Amino acid sequence: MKNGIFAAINIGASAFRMHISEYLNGEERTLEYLIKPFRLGRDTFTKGYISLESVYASTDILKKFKIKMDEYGVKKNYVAVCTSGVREAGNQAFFINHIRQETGLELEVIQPSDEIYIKFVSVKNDIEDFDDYEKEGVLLANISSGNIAMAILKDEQNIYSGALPYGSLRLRRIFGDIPARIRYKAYEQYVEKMCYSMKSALPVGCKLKYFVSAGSSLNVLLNIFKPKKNMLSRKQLEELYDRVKQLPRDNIQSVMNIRKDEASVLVPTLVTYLKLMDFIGTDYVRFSSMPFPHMLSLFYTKTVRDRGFFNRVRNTVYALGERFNMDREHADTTVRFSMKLFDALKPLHSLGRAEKFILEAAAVLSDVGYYIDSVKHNQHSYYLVQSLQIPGLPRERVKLVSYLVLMHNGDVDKWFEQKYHYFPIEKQLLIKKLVSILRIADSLDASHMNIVQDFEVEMQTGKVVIKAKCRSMAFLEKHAFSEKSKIFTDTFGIPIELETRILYE
Amino acid sequence: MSVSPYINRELSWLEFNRRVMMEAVDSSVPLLERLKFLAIFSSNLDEFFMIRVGGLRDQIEAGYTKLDASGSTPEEQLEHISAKAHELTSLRQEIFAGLKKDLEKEGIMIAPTLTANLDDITEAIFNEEIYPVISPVTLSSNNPMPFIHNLRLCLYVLIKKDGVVHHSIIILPENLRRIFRVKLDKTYFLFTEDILTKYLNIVYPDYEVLDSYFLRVTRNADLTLDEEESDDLLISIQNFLKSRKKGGICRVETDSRLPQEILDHMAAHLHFSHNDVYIIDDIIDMTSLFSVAGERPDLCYPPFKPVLPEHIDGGANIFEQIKKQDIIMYRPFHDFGLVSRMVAAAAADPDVMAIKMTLYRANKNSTILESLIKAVKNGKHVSVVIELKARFDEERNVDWANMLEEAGCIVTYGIAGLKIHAKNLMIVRRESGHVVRYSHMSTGNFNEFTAGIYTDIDYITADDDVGKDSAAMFNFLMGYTDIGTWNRFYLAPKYIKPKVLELIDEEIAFAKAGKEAKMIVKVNAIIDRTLMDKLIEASCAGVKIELIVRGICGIRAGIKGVTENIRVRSIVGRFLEHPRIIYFHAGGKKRVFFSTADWMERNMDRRVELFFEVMKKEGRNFLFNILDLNMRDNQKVWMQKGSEYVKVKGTKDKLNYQDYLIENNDKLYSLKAKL
Repeated sequence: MKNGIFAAINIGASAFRMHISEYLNGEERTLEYLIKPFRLGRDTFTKGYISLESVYASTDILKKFKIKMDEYGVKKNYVAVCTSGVREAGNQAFFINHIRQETGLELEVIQPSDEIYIKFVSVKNDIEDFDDYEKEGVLLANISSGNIAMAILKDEQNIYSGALPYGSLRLRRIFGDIPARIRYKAYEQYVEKMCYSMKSALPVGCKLKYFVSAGSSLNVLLNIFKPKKNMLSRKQLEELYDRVKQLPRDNIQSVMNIRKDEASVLVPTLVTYLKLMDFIGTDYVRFSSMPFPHMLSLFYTKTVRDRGFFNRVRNTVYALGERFNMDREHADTTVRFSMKLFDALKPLHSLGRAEKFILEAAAVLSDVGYYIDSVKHNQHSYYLVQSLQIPGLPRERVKLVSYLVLMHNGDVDKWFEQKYHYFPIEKQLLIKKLVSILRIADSLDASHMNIVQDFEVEMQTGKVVIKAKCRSMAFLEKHAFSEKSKIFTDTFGIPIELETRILYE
Repeated sequence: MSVSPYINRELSWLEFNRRVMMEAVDSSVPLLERLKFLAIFSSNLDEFFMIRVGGLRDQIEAGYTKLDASGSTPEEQLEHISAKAHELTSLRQEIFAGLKKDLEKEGIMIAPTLTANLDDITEAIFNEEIYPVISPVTLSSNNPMPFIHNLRLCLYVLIKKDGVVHHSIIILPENLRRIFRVKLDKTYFLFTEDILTKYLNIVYPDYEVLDSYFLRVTRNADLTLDEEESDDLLISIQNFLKSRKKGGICRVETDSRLPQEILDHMAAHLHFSHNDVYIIDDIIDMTSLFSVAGERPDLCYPPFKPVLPEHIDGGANIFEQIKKQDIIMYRPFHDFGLVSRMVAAAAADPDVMAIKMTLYRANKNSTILESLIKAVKNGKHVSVVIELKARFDEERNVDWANMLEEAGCIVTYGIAGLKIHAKNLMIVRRESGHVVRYSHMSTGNFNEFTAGIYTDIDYITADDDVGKDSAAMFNFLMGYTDIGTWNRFYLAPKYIKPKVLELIDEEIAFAKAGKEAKMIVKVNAIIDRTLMDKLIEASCAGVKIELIVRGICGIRAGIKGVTENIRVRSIVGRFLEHPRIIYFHAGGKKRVFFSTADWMERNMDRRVELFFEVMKKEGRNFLFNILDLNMRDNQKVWMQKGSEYVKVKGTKDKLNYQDYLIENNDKLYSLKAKL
């Protein structure tokens, strides 16, 4: 970021936090870090909405945060993100609107995948050996009050990513009626189930080595253990768990000398940590002690960057394709052709690297729908892609990929008429440009037999000609090309033709 | 029976007040200053009766019987207090009589016999000032005794008509002046009650005035118990506190001529015992002597002008100087005006973004607060955390709060249940795109008047770790955050006591390991039981402990095998000793802290206080020198012997350290004290 002061606010399920940083000549310096414990999640997780009383209390807290921002002259240089406490509230819109009216602050609700991604990037920059962990297999868990967002990385791939409703405050709410003496057993069962779900989502035989934690749940453990290194051992956690698991909250508070809100979530937090350690088979949990708002600040100011982002997302996309038994050879060919067309047609489409990557992902994933059924496979591909959470790839881009895979086949005009006519014209155009290229690339391997070996693109007067080199007669490819190329002409205003030439050996 | 290592808090306080009074007999003190010490003694004693004696009476009435640290019940404590207060009151009269004679030689006549040469004047005063505002009340079976307000002087008058004796009371109105200064051949200070007595026949025209007596009652003040006392006591008597009648009588002062039957009659109606009666055969309320104390400059302390430390350039940019080197000063020898000017500079400085301060006590025309108002007008972000319950300054602080708020400052009132006693100021400045925080911490208030009469430490730094702590402290006090992380600050109520205990434990460990172990504690009071017990434990372990305690000290030093390694001294002089400076030998690391907290439960457990370690060499040396000079003072020092204090006056190498610093304050930077 340019020199200046940046404020990052996180409205979490159990606390409001604000981090104010000074950025000067590429250096970041923390000026202030404010924490106001407030259990917004208590309303959301039990009633499904934020009570009016809590809306007002939240407004009061944020008014104070706004005063701090004013003190440093922060006007637009801020980000204010809400996590599960607001995200899952039925009256989320009212909450956001009320805060805007009363404080002028614009709140943004972020998805669990965004949250875990921001933490991933920050942890990657904060923990020295994280790149090695990433290769050898690591579970990064953001264990907060509302949810546990997780990312499993191995061999520079994002193997698993998801958010599960197992946050410590939520667990406390769910099992609040059970006597403290036996409540820990309920937590154990519940978290065990979570581990089972995760296990079933992982490739068979996938072994992990490291467990890295982030999230508000860490604070209570750091308060208790005050570790000198960024690591806690199973032994420490087990001893603490045995000590407190049957105690009521007030006893935990006095025995451990911690705050009341920390005491209420200590047992579910410990259960979660210990079960995840079992799941991975490790005796240590590593962590970054950097608070989330600090991570937000570094992330939004682009002070930390995701080294190897494109490679990892690319690997992840391919891994997803593999998971759905994609035809790897066809996918590789479609990717190769798409990329070549994209580069060759650059003077026509004027798109950049990010759009090229969307095209690449769509080329990989366009046929994953065959995993469900070959009939209407593009529609199956569409919803499979829609359900994907790829950390770091913004939701909007995932959606763009899904539109491309949907329209890589069938009648494009029909889809726009029926479903996407309300999109802004620029967005429609972007989709059409990318779909045009994808459809041509896909048609060039319509037979899935790699008949077209390569091609050249010639921009001639009044038309674009693709001169393909084939290893045999490309009947299906020609047919598909004629079916799928209409959108190209409609989009770019220039016809495109396919010329094939068989190469004899 | 073994001697208790503890001294009752109230008796220790009375001993302190005796030391204050004894300044009035110190021939090295100018005459009118000696008179002022009597006034201070009297004012202190009034407050003591209202608050401490009143509090003990509440305990007795609530049935609270728990023994204090020294082993006395509340009833026993009252008996001891009464005996000592009677003794001190008599002593005050003797001292006053002597001073009065000495002042007469200087032509200053205090409450003289109203001789004929004063008649014209006294008559005029009576007719113009007194008579129009007084309202005599004649007592009857319907009105046996009117309500007498706290500390209000009265005349009890016996009058006779048609052979019948009537009793009447004149309560002097609050707005009636007490003293009239008349300059003739000498300067006369005439007291209202004397003039009124002279003209009683005019007040009761149809009666024969038989006699009149002075009378003043002191009532239990309805305040501060909640802050002053320990939690267990408050819990025990809280039901009583809800139902107690406010303002019971704790002391009655009258003259010796008041007939016994009248006293009995009053005792029955006003509910006091004979132990509560104090006979005063001179001026009853000696706080009035404050108005005489400034009469002749040649009979007062010679004036002195606080100076800036030599290495500070008053004309140069203050912020640049702070960045080069932390500033440490000792008021009143060094000029507190530097702080006022720093705030004024900040108010006008376009690079200053924000100013924040705590406000416990400020003077009436505080230039600091006026600067804050200017700062707001100049677009700065100004925040003030005001303590509304600063005893005796409540009203003024409410006024300041309103004024600051109207000007646009953000005013907050701290945290419920905790009095904010820390004195901090922070100026946030943007310098070449970089935020720099200037932190000022002090043991004294932002009060430009008391800055001239109290000794206190001022410390100003641009250290970023300290700046972060200052910011976090203000965020905490202003409700912006509930959780703070601290680099350099230890704040009560959570962190000071554990830190002090930890530091004492370290000394104990050094002593037990046969290494040098030493502490010097300069505070205003030590009465916190946990800390006293830890000091006793340290003494037993062989830690050498020097306590320099201006006021209450609940530890009895020098008991063999218990407190034999503890020495207690107290300095009472021209300036009120006010800083808290704590030194630990720490195995040779020699750690030194200053603090706003006395070692009392109220400070440690129910106030926001600061305990701060000075790390920079210059600052440490500065504080070592103050402690060393305190230890070497042999003119104003009182050493504790048993439960009393004995003044130790050296005849060789005389050192009154306060006087020394008036002339040699720069020595605080250059001397190399070896503690």
